[in-house]
Amino acid sequence: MISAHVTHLKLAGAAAAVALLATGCGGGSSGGGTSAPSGGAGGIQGKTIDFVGYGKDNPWGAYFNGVFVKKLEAEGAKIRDLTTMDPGTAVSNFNQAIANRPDLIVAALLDTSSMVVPIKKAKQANIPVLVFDGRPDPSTDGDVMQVLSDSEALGTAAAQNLVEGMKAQGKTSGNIIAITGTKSGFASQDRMKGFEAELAKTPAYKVVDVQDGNWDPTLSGRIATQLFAKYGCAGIQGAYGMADYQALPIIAAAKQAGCEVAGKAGVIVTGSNCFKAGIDAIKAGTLYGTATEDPGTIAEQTADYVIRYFGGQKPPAKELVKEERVTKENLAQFAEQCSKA
Amino acid sequence: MNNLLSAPARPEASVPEPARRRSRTEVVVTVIVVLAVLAAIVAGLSTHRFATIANAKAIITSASLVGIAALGLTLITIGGSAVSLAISPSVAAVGMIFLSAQSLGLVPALVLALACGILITGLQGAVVGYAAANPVLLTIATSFAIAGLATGISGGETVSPTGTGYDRLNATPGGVALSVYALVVLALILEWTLRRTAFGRTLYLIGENRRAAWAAGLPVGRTTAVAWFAAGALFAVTAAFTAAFNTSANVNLGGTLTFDAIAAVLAGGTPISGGRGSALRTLAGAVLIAAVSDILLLRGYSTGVQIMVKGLIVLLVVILVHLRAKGRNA
Amino acid sequence: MSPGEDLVRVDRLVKSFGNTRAVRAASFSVAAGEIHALCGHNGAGKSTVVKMLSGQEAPDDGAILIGDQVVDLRSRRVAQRNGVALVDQELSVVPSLTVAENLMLGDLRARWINRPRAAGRRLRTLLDSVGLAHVELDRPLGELGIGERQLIEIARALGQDARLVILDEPTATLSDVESAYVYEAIRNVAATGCAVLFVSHRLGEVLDLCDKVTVMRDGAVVATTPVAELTLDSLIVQMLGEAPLRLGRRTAADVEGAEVLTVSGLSVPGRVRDFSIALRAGRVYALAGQLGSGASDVLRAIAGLLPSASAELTVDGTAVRLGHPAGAIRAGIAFVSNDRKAEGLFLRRPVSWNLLATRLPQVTRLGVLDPRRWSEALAVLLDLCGLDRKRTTHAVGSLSGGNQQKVFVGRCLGRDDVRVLLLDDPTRGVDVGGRAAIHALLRDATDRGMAVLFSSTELEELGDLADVVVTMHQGEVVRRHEGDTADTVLLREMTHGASTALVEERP
Repeated sequence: MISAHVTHLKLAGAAAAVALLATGCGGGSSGGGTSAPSGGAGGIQGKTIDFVGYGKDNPWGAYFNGVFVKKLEAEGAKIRDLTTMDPGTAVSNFNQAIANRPDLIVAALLDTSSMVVPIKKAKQANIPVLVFDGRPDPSTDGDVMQVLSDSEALGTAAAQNLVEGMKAQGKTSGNIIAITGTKSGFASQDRMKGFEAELAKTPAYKVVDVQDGNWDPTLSGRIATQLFAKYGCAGIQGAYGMADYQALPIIAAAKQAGCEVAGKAGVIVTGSNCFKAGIDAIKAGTLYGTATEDPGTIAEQTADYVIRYFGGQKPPAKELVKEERVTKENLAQFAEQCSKA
Repeated sequence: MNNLLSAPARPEASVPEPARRRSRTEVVVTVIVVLAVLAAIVAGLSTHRFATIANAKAIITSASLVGIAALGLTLITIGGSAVSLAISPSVAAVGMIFLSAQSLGLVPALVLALACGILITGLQGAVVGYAAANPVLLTIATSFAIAGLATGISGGETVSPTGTGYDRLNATPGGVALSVYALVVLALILEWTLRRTAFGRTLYLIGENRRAAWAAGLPVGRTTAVAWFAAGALFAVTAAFTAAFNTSANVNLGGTLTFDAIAAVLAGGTPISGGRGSALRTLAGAVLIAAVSDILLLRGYSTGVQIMVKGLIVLLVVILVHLRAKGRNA
Repeated sequence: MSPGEDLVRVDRLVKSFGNTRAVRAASFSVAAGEIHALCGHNGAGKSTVVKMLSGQEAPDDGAILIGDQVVDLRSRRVAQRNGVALVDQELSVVPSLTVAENLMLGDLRARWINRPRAAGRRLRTLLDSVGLAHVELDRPLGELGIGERQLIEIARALGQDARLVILDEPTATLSDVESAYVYEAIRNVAATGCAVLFVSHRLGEVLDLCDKVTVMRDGAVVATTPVAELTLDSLIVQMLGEAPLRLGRRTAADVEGAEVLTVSGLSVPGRVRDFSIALRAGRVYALAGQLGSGASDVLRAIAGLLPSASAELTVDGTAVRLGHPAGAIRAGIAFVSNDRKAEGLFLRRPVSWNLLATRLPQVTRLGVLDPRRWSEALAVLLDLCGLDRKRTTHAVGSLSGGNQQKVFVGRCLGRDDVRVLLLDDPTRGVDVGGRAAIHALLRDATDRGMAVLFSSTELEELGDLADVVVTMHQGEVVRRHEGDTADTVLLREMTHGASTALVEERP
């Protein structure tokens, strides 16, 4: 697909941030944005929101958009759909949104650096911007409201899964491989930060190889195949696929290499953001665990943030979505929300 | 009526036969190829853990999924239709269909996947063959159409398997992945078909000179359509294996497959202009790219470097093929 | 430089390709103001000599001297700078550009800044000198006929201030009238003190036009002889080393077979109006017409290659739909195009593939090649064409033009299901020996009950080969001739049509 990389980038986009800069507000007119720091007391009824989110061709985005748009429209907001999975189109859509002078722009950042200038422009035009999922470039951190996925927590959860799984097998030490999302993206970097920090607490379990899987399941599987050949079954005790759809090809690669997966002595594999296929694999016992970062939860929280903002409640400039570790133990609790994408 | 045409019997020994010449370019090309092969062997042997059976298996396993799709593309390329740029979306769509049909059982799901693959790609082939549409433009258009349709029908969501039959495609009889057997068997069948059947000969002739083939009354439309049909079936096989391996499928399942397959075909030395090439060459191209990626991975180079080197290999082979052709025709 | 002095000297040139010695110590010289013919059977080495003189191939040994200076012609451009201009067999003009732009293509004197008026005057003179006074400089070349394009190419070579002008088969694609312009142009060039090297298969024009003839055979120079000491027969003996096969001429009453092909009301928009003909088995028919007469279009339409054509067509009484080559072939119509590179052969493929390309169903079993049937069918065809068995694996593109044409014609024969054989200018660019062989092949086809229809502009060929000659002019039939007809009558009808012919017959 044309934008496969980018798609995965966002798809995996782990953090959601909402930034409130300004508030717009004057009733239903789209030109009413002023620099008031709150959404005004008028409530959300009749407010215009330009939504520059992930495109529907991305599963994560498709589910997010459904929940988010439905909830806000039920509250009476008018949403203009400017979603796309193409970073270039996203920039021009964002500029279009500025020209539309809505009460709020809600955006996901496909490419953080190319969005720096548009965000500055929005600020000059006194149009508030709310960023969700992945964090913005540090230079615009103060210019936007943010509802972010807690990427570090996701990485931490993955590390906990692996250590817990290996300990349960009676292994006091182990070698771990990690296949990440697009390395240059904040989502991957932040998850690795949490992952490595958590593992540092138990130095007997160490990361021996980190490869860039580019949020691409097929590429991740190929890399895993080569890593299992490189280290052999005995050389890998744990594997981290940053998204479930990367962890599952790792399992398939391990099996094809003749390595045992899970069970009494097999390699422990974890993901760190859940999809239905991952939940199924945890049920089947091949995937040890994952973590949430499901589109439904963040969509609910982002919509809620917007409602609070227009309701005059002045939510904090930055909110993190609480992420949960998912294993067989608490599967029932998360199976539903993780099966949306 | 023997030898009517040779009436004034003339010795023809003096006619220059360029095919027998060894021009300087050809020597240079040969030298470069030999050096490149030697360099690859040295790089491989000096790379820790490269020359092991486990690693050889890993390389050919890596090559198998792209390889099967590239075999399909080989038919399209030999037949003079250049390339299909709609491989990735076709594979994604068929992969989604395959997984959602798992409740029917593995075999019916496979049959359904093959049928859909043949339909999707075969229709494009019929348009290219009978209406002489430009394959590149057509497949750009259809790639959007297929992706759009797949997104619309699935609502953009990831398809999870509705049964467990798919897992048999991940089997490893004799310790080697099933997809590797599929790759080798399909490559041999295809090679035989290209060399030994009227269809194969006709395809080469059409690829070399479509107008001459048309004027000679060869079934240009039918042969082209059949080539695309077969390519569609091979894309479907790739889709089934890829979906089974990934255990889930969405519109991005194909990933970079379109260009990976093109790279394998080109790296095998099949010229994009058609009329030449073979299934075994494509097999070699797919394995070459997988092997070089593997060396780079084992030596700790990043994905970016691996992708760049893939590009350089394709570029080098294309230049060599061009020089060789020029050396012969000079 | 005064006429009579040697301007260009070729001294013991040697060139080998692999194990084949294409040229063995060839020497000759051309004087300023001389028109010097280079003749030889296909494969004699004359093309290689031309390539060395024009900078396309480097000699292995020997030297090329221009004006007593040994020159190293490393590329075509270097050759051009040394005053060697080449007019190719193949057209290298660009249809999308104007006449003037084509004339300036590759001109070493072209500058970044054009001076249109001065350049225009010079180009006008050039065009006039090749008989194209009626062609405007700003006309797109694509509007001109193929003969006129060839003249443009010659004009371009003439415009390069050349000291040696090489014309490699310049009239191969030209009608007799157009050729006459070319001869005139060549004489003008020689008169200015240039040396002209003229390569041609048309021996008649060689004898008429040239001052001296160098004949090559098997890579070596046989002799250089003043044209006054030569006759057509002695020239052919030099070239072939023996007298060529002469074929007897058939009389009109020889065979009267059944009607095989009938065509009525054939029209091709802008090309052919209301053409009708009936071909009988065992006879050879010719369409005699210059370029643009529609003769070629008639053949292409019957073969199904012109979708815009309309006609009623039957083969053995069964109607055939126009516009589909495959349909025409199924009906038993085989066609040999005059453009064998684009519409005939698969040049990179071996001889065997080319000969059997249209016969795959006959050499396969359930779609799988049957090696026995394949080699049997191949052996029959090779015998028929008189091609060496050792060559079956060679790419067709590596054969000489004559042998390529044998493969093309041979592919259409040796099949019982062929009822009608159409050939568009079948001996174009083919040497004397190959021409006789192809003629023999056509005779053989008629002996086996086929009807043959070919187009040609060559009077000798029309006279030798055809039982019936139909002259065409500007898309219409002029007259149908059976039996003996004077060459002059045919030529007049081809060049002037019927009405003018009557006028001119008056004293």
